[in-house]
This record gives sequence, structure tokens and C-alpha cells, in this order.
Amino acid sequence: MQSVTFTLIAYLLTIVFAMVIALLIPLVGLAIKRLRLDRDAEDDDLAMPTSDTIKEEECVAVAIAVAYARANRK
Amino acid sequence: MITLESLKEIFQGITTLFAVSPQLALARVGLIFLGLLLMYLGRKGILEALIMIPMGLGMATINAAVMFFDPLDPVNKAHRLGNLFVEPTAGASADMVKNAADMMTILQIDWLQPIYSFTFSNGLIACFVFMGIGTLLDIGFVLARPVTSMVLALFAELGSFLTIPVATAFGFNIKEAAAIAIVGGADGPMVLFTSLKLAPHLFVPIAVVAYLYLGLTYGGYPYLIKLMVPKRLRSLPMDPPKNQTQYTAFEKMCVATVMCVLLSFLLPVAAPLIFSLFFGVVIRESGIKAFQDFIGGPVLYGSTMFLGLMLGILCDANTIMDPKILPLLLLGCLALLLSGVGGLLGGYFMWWVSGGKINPVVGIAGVSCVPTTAKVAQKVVSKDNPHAVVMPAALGANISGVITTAIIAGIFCSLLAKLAG
Repeated sequence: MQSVTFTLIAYLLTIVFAMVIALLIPLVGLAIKRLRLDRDAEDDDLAMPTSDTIKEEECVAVAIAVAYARANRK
Repeated sequence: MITLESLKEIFQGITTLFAVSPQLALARVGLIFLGLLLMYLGRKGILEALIMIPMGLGMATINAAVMFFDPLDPVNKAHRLGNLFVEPTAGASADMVKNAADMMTILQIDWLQPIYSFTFSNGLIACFVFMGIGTLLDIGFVLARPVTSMVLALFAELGSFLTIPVATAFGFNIKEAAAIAIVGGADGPMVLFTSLKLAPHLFVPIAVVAYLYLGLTYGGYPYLIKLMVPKRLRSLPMDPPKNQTQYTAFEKMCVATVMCVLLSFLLPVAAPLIFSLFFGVVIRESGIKAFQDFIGGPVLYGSTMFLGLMLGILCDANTIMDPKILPLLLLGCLALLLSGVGGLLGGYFMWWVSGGKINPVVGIAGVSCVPTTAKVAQKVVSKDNPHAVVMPAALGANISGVITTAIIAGIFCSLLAKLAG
């Protein structure tokens, strides 16, 4: 009986903790996005490799545009 | 002159087979072949090669290399069979260690003893593995679908809870039952850590059982999925979430930092593993390539290799033939099975709640064997629909599974640590 009670209490606590964290994660993400903490570190050099996925996409887009412009000039 | 007695002294690996009971001798031979089988299955990709190859070789070798110990051996191995690899119980008794010199003697008795004592028996190797796993995780997958991922992970933890009353019915006390049940979380480092805290005397067999079964999830879960999910649902494609917010690497790093501090604040008993995991995530997003390569390379693969090797070395016939092993084997299997079933039920639940947008197979990835179960989910779905991509959702559930297992470990240790026995 003790084990069943412990199981139920532990599962309920886990559900509560997990759902609190699930709701907090996007809030923390949005708060950090709002703060724009990396504003000063923004690098306009789109030719530099980066682990930032958004900048990577921009780099690829610029590279494609440059290649297309070169091809058209020919 | 070579006599029969001297031959017995030379070929001790063989003569020790006749110095024990027939069951133990058969167990040694069986474990040698089991070790070779695990290596073969790992090499073929049927089981997780990173763990199974060193584990299999260790298991086969340790059961071959049994010898008689000199009665003058300083660590009191007189009249006992053993091996020169590791002595898991060395120094366990307070009487054995009277001063620093005794401690140094114990640490040098076997060649793997320092690795066992300094990294395995204190959970350090589990933390290193978790750091390495952290560098493989993209927290963006959780940020994309946090509630869905967490719900799937909660369903997939069913085995970690339902196994507790079953284990107590088998005769284990509640701390032992909790240490065994957490095998259902399918998180090796967490299992090592929790068993050290709650049931250190069962640490070795629980660790062996847990990792053996974690290797089996790769082979067994696809069958469970095919049994529980019909083909028309298995082949359901999943579109990416609409209006998904994109996060830069720096933002992901900040989120990981906040989550690490918050979870450690809430569950300090699980803080070493929580920290290790999020440290890896932070290093991944930090852009410090040298650290990424170091933790994702030598640290991860070195600690995984030694973890597999130590597990194999601990699989000697004496440990496996312990009467407590059979119930642990059954309970571990039950925990993982219930977790798999729970995960798929969670997948069904989210499929229903989302109006048919979420593929139920993704639920299996809530079982936090990262990234094995996410790969299993994608592999099974791709067989029925090569164009269906479920990996992002599966990885989100996988990562959430790690977080929920850490929460469960923290709750178990906090609630049970003060109980006697």
C-alpha cells in the first residue's frame, strides 16, 4: 500500500513539475528574445561562418543571390 | 618438471571451471558466448554498437580470465576465485581502510580499479556521458513544441512508476524498488546515479541490467510499435508547427542556462546530472568549437567506451548468478515495456488532441534513450512512408524525456533518501 501511495504522489509531483517547466520554456524563450541580449554582438558580415541557424540561412540566401547575379552578368 | 598440478596452475581459466558448482561454470561459459553475441549484434547495428562492443568484449574476457588468488594477497582475497580487472567491493568495509596507504593499496589492486573507483562508482562517468549527450541536443526541438514534448515524455515514464509496486511485491524495499523502476526512464546515467543514491548495494546489478536493456530497446521497440500502431497511422506525415518562433544560438544558450539553474534550484539532488546535460547544450550553442569538439569527441566517446567496458567487466558469472539478478532482469524488462507502451499511448493521446496532426509513433521517443528512440521512431515511420519526417517532433519528446527522468530521479532521491534501508 505504501508503494502505491508513494507511486501516485511521485507521479503527480512529476506531472506538476514537468508541466510547469513546459509552460516556462516558451516564456523564457520569448523573454530572452525580447531582451535581444546579443544585439551588440550582431555581426553584419554574412560571409562569416556561424553556428547561429538564422544567420546561416541568411548566409546561404546571400551566397545564392551573389551566384545568381554573377551568372546573370555573364 | 611439468606435472598435472603445475598445468592446473598455468591454465587457471580452465581449472577454475572445475573448482565451482556446475551452474556457475555453465554461467561463465554462457556469458562468454553472450558477450561475443552482443559484440556481433552491435557490429551489425542491431544493438547500440558504442556500448555493446566494449561491453561484449569485457563480458567475454572477464568470464574467461578467472583465477585462484594467493592466500597472501593483501586485500584479503584468500581462498577465493576472482579476476585482475576490478574488485567492486574493495574498500567497501570501513575496517579495510585504516590509513592512506591502505587506500592506495586498494586502488592499485587491479588495473581497472582506479577507473571504477574514481569514475564509475561515484557517477562521474555518467556525468561525462551526459555532457557529451548535451552537445548532441538541439534545444530548439523542445522550444518548438514544449507542451506536446513534455506530455509525451510524461506518458513514457509510466514504467518508472508502475514498476515500483511490482518490485515491492517481489520483496524489494521501496528505495530498491525506486532504483530499479527508474530503468523505465531508459536513461543510463540517471539509472547509475539514482541507484548509487538509493540502493548502492544493488548498483552493480542494476547498472548491468539497465544498460543491457537499453541496448535492447533498439531491437525490441520497433516490434512494439508495429503491434500497437496500425500502418495507416504509422505512415502519417507531420508538418512543422505553424508560426514557429526561430531562436538564435545565443538565445538557445540563454534558455539552456535558465533551465539549468531553475531545475537545479528545484531539484538539487539531481543537479550534477542536470548541470552536465545543460552544460553540453550550452557548449553546443556557445560556438566555442574547440570545446564542442572536445566534449562531443574525446569526452563523450571516451566515457561511453569505458562505461561499456566497465559494464562488461562487471558481468562476471558470480554477479549474474546472484539470486537477486533474475527479479532485476524481469523488473527491468517490465519497466521498459511499460514505458514503451505508455509512450505510444501518449502518442495516441496527442494524435487525438491535435486532431490527427501528430503521428502516434512519436510517443516512443518520449522514452529518453537519446537519440536511439527518436531514430527508432523515424526508421519505423520511414518504412511505411518514406516522405514522412517525424524526427524533429521525436527529438523534442526525447529531450523532454531526459528532463522528466531528471525530475523523477530528483523526486525519488528527495522523498526516499532519508528512509532507512
